[in-house]
Amino acid sequence: MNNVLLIVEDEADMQDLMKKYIEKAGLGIEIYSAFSGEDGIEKYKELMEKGKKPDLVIMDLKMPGIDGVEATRRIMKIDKNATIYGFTAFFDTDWSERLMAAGAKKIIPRYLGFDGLVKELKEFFGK
Amino acid sequence: MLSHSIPFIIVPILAIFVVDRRWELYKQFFEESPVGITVVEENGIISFANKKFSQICGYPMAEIIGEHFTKFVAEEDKEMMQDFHERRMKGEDVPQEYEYRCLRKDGKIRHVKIKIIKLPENRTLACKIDVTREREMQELFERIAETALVAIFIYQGGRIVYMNRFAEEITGYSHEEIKNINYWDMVVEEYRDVVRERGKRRERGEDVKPMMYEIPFYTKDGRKRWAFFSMNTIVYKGKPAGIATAVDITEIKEMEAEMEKSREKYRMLVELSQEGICMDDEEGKIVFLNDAFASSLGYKKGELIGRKVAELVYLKDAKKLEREEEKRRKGKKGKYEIRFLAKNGEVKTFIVSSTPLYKDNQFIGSLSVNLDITERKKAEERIIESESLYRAITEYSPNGIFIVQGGKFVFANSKFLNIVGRDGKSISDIDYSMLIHPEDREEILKIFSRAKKMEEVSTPEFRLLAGDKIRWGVINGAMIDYKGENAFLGVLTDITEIKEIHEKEKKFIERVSHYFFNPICIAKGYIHLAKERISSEEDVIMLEKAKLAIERVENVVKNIVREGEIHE
Repeated sequence: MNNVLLIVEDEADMQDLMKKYIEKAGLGIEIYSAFSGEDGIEKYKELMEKGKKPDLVIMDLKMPGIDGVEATRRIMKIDKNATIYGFTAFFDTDWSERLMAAGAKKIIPRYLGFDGLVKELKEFFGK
Repeated sequence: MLSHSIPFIIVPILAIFVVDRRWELYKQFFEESPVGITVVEENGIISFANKKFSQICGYPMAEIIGEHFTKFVAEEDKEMMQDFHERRMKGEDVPQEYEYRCLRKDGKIRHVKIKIIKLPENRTLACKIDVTREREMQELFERIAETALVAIFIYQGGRIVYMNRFAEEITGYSHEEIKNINYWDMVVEEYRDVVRERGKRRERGEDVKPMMYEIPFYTKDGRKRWAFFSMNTIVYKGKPAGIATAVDITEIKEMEAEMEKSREKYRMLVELSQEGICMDDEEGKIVFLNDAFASSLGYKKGELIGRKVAELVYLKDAKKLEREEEKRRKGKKGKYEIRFLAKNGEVKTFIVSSTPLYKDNQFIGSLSVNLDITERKKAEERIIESESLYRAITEYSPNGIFIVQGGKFVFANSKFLNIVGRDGKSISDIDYSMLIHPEDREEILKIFSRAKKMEEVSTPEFRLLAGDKIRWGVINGAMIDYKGENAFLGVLTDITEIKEIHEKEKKFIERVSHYFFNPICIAKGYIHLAKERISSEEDVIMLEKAKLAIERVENVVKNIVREGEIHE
């Protein structure tokens, strides 16, 4: 059974690039996308119900509707064992702190680029 | 009291005439003598009497000659005179001169002074002077003296020969006891010689001055008393004597001594008083002042006596002094502040309590107590200055300053009131904790409770309830003594605007991050993927250059976000 990754990101190009880089890295994980906070929560619930609970959620912060902090808080309410990493441009603002306070385990600054993200995923999935 | 010594000088002369048998020659002279003359035979029969004797006894001559001499003597003295006569005739020593009471024909008694000489043929020659009036005068004097409320002494030969009842009372001696004492021995030692010398001169009949003086004397029981003596000379019982009337002034003297002590105390009080005391006359000229007043103006007392108070007053207060002096003249007391000019030119401020002085209902000046308050005044001015400074600092302070005592605001400057949106009245009515946002209250109150004297505490940023708004602030403060009790002095810095700027800055950074990093990240991502797909080396170089250009932009944005500076 493959590992499951849920990407919550409002920008389609970001979603596209993240998928491309992960696939290129051959991590062999199933990737699901959500384009807003609310969408992310719903997707997480849906995947859980399908027995595909995400092993990791990559969470953007600034999104239309509810932001990444609130989305993280609500996912953590659904699943207190959820693992959420922030991948955000707001790495030097108190948004990062608030995200961590809401339950995120790590913040990956966006300036590390997609290679940086892939490196973190490899590490997480032990690949 | 007249002297009887001179008429009696003629008695021996008369005796010579009688003895020399020239009697008939001088009989007419004897007849007209102003002195009563009798010749008494051995058997007591009067063989000669002159007109004067006839007048004294009131008998006509015919009823005198041939009569026994005792016929003319009062019953009380008859035996004594008969006895003297008999003994004289026997040649015994009996008094030659004495007084007796003569019994007149009309039954009245006359006092007669007699001098008797025994003649060779057992006869006696007697000269008699009527001293009744003198005796009456003496009696009158003694009666008056006995009822007088002053002590009266008569002294002769260094001894007191008469003193009245009052004199006995003040000396403690009886008449009999005092006869044996030299009167000067009663006088206190240091006056004794003077009293003796003057007394002796008076006894000789000299006019001695002064006639009145105060002398201390010892009573019989050794107590020292004072008397006021008035002295004169008199003839007493035919001899010069000194007479003294005396009033016991011991109590007055003691009162005087007490008053002197009291005056001394007052003088000391006045001299030692720290307050300046000054007395001026009806023209405002200084007639008395103490050292304190003189020295407070830098003068010596002598330099100010006779000078007008108006000459010392500071020119700007001259009118005020005039008004005050006018009040004194109208009999009004006054308390006022006035400035005097010291000798060195310094202006000195005094509080003057002044009261008018009167003598026989006539205004004679005023007495004032002058308290030098120059230093106090300067200190007050310094306090006012420092209070003004403090008030200015407090009022113009960009920080809110407040004092809390017993949970209530007891002081708050305008800035503080402005920050919390209240006025002075409403701030004093509320509990200070009610200004702190409920979510921050517990933490902030905990910090205040740790405050100690002179040990500053600081709060973190917290929210203040300013009416319907919320403001942000920090407080630095410490415990102080305020009006004798513990209080918390706090300085509130309003950081609301800084917080707003900070928020704006934060939002700016967030936006910068969001709007720059995402496209950069996407651009870099795609460039990287594109590089892997193309084969032309030239295309790869171009993409690499594009990537480097984007990374330069990325660095600039990173520096803006992290350091607020625009550089690569």
